[in-house]
Amino acid sequence: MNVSASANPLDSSTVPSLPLMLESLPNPPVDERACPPRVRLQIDLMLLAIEALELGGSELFLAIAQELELQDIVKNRVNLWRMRCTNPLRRSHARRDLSLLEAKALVVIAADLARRLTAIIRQLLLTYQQMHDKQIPLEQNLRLSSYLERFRSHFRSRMNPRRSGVLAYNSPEKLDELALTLLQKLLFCTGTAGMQRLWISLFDGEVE
Amino acid sequence: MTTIQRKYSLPNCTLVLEGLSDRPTDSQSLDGRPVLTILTYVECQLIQAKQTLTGGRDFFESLVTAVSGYAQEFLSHVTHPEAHNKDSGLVQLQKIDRDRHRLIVQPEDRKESEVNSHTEGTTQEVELTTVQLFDLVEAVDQFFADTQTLPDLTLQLAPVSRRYVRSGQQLVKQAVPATVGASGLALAAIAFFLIPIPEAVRRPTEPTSPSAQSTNIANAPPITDPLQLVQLQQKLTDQLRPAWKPNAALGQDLVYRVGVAADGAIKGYVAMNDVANQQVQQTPLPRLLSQFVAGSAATPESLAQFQVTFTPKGEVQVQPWGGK
Repeated sequence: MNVSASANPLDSSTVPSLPLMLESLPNPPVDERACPPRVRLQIDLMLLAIEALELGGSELFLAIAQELELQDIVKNRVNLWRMRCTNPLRRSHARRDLSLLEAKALVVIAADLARRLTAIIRQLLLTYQQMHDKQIPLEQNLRLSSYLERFRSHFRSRMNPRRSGVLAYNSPEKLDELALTLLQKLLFCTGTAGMQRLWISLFDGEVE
Repeated sequence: MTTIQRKYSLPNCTLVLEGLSDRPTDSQSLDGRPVLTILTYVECQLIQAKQTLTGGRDFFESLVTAVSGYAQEFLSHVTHPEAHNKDSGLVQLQKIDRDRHRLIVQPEDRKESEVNSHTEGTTQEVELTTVQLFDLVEAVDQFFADTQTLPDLTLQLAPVSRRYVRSGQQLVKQAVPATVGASGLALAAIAFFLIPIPEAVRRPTEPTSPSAQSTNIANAPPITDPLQLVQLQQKLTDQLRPAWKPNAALGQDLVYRVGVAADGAIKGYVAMNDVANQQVQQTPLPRLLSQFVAGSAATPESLAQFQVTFTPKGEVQVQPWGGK
């Protein structure tokens, strides 16, 4: 799907104009400059799951950012990495804020990629369901096990094992659970209103 | 007037709407489709689950509201009130486990049947896998995106308020029998007694402020959702860190077990070493202890437990309780 969101000329009073894609995501009533920790954590984990699904992770994110005209927000590798390091579980967690605008850009990228990966996400979840119902070990399916394995290794190499949130995933089984939960969430992002649903859900329990 | 039919098809779910248009024919859209404004019949076929749900406008409104709310709950793990609307809604969704969900549909004539106590229709229950649930959500979203079908129903998305999260937990609390009826210092002392380090127990801290209470943190049902734990750990750290100043006179770390409610409020703390017990007034904990709310102190609330260490150098370490 090629969504070419041209710079929005409708409202010339706002400088600089925002990419159209971001306009479909409303601003929840939280501090515009700083997203709550759960938002930062969730977004980074969704991106991590996409990286486990599709090789070429961060380059791919940057390419999509270009395509969706988000390059003013997601500028380059380092910039993207810094945004993702606002996830409090990261080894290199930076005490830097993630603005709503940055969070929106990352959500748009995640949802766009999820849509492109719809077939594989759906297939993996159907396979998982069948294997789970028949109690067949998941390792017996190559695609599923390689997704889970890649997710585990990404998670372990990037998250700080001393943080409580990471401690909660101290076994391969728990990491697999997380990987599957994220895969299910990605499936929901592939839908007609998936991106909006994901965005709004990030702020559940965070607003008055 | 001719009957208009709209169909939204997904692999596991087909949603069929039938109705009429009360708009003049010249208000047709560019694609020539008339606007369906009066809904007469809805059929929701859940193909894999081999069940078909049918109904009218009430059923349909309730269906799209519950499905939409549950989709949000599925994404955030935060209970969404619209997914569980027992009183006014005909449709509810419940989580069975991570991969299975239960759709419950009350008969539309429920209200009269309650009066008669003879149930006319029967409650239908359908079990859905997550992929099947997604197809139902997507059929509903395709309906919302279709501006030519019931334009008065639009997708309304808003984050669940923190207040609801809190009151939702109040309901859970009411279901748990009261275990401790004491109040004030007595309650705090009981809480301390249940912690298996007796030396901290024998000398309860001075009453920190007349209205402060310590919930029985050891007996409270634990919060186990890892994501929530991370969030609460961060919140607690953010509360304590700015409030703790270096204090070389202490000579050693002050260690506490701290119970935090789902909304981030500090509900109780227990000194884990002698010096912590004596120096509790030096820490920000008494000040930050959540105020007593009438009627809620005696019932255990779900708490996340952390080990908090205040060092003489001015550092604050917050770790999950028991996870070192």
